[in-house]
Amino acid sequence: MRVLIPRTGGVRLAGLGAVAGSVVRDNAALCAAGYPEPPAFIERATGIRARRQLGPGESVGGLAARACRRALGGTAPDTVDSLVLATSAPERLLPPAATRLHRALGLRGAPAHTINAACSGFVFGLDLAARGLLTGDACALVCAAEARSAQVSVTDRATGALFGDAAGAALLRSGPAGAGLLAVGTVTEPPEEAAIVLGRGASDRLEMRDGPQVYFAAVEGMAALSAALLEASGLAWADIDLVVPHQANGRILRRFCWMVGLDEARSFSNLERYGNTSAASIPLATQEAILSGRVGAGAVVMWLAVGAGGAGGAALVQLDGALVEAVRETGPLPGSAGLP
Amino acid sequence: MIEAEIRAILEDLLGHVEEPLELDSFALVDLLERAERRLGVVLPASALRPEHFASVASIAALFASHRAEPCAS
Repeated sequence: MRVLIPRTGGVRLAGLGAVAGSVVRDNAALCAAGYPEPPAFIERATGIRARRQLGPGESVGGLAARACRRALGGTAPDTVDSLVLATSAPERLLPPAATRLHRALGLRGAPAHTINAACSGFVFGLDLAARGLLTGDACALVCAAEARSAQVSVTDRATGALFGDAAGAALLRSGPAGAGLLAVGTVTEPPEEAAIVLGRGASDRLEMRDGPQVYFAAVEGMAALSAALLEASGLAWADIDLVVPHQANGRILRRFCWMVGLDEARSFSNLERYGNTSAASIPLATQEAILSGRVGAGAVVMWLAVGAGGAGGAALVQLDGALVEAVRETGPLPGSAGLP
Repeated sequence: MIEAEIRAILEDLLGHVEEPLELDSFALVDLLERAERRLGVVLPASALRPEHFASVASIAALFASHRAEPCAS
């Protein structure tokens, strides 16, 4: 794993915002639409009770723009020096998704990077943006936006109940060393045979092969990444206030806690209400962790993700009071009231 | 002894055991995790191959081959 630990300068997490699709689709609705198991099975097998999906007139690009605006808060878009958009669900291949987001936000001249690191995209984007901030940028925007629900068939037992649509973004600023971003690590270890595949044609649907192996490998990867990042940063599990892992599947999150000996109360999950939102799940869950009071100023949070293609990433971030206040001022996700 | 444990878990999960086993991925994960806890074994992902899951005996052999090794965590 390649680890970046800001030492001579620092990277501050200055803003955070996330939104989800407006349609709430619970397990009963999914089963009525053709999912081949009953609602209780879905909840038991995945930990998911409902997911948010794109509604009429919504798009992954639109979610990305809304998430970025929440993260920007009162920051003028023309002060952003760099934009990174992580997505594996772009509406078009060209023009690049980040360039359309750039235009929607009204950025001026800032380079826009579109990346795809599957479920680890947000952490990979964070790594890229942090390196820019440590070499001259003053302000960067990282966004992850996904609309995976449209890429699966509801009748597919393995994948049809897993996914929701969401976007999350972080505003980063250069700052003093030793605060904000404490460490970020990324790694790619492609398997011999891809187990999660999408994209051979316009009508293609995501396929997940060899589910148990994917499941066990994901947890092993999370355990290895977290251990490597802790060792590199000189921290221990006792120093981590909350782990906010990629919200892959409830069973994966529980197995991870079991494997590393972490009390499940120190790992945050909002999977049951949003489903697996791929790369967007970490900023979405972090926003909720702050809004719910699970973490506050000074808390050290571990972000952790593994994804298709063997892309894995982990980061340690210390939240500051200004960020916590900004997130609370922005308020809960639109449409989140009354969710199951 | 391991075979008996695997068979008992399968009966609890499925209500019956019919070979060759045709377990879907959800049932397989259920089985493997329950067996890990009962037998004190943590299976590495690299060990999970489809040929291991055709019979109670082959699943038991998988666990037996990892039982002597220290747990990963």
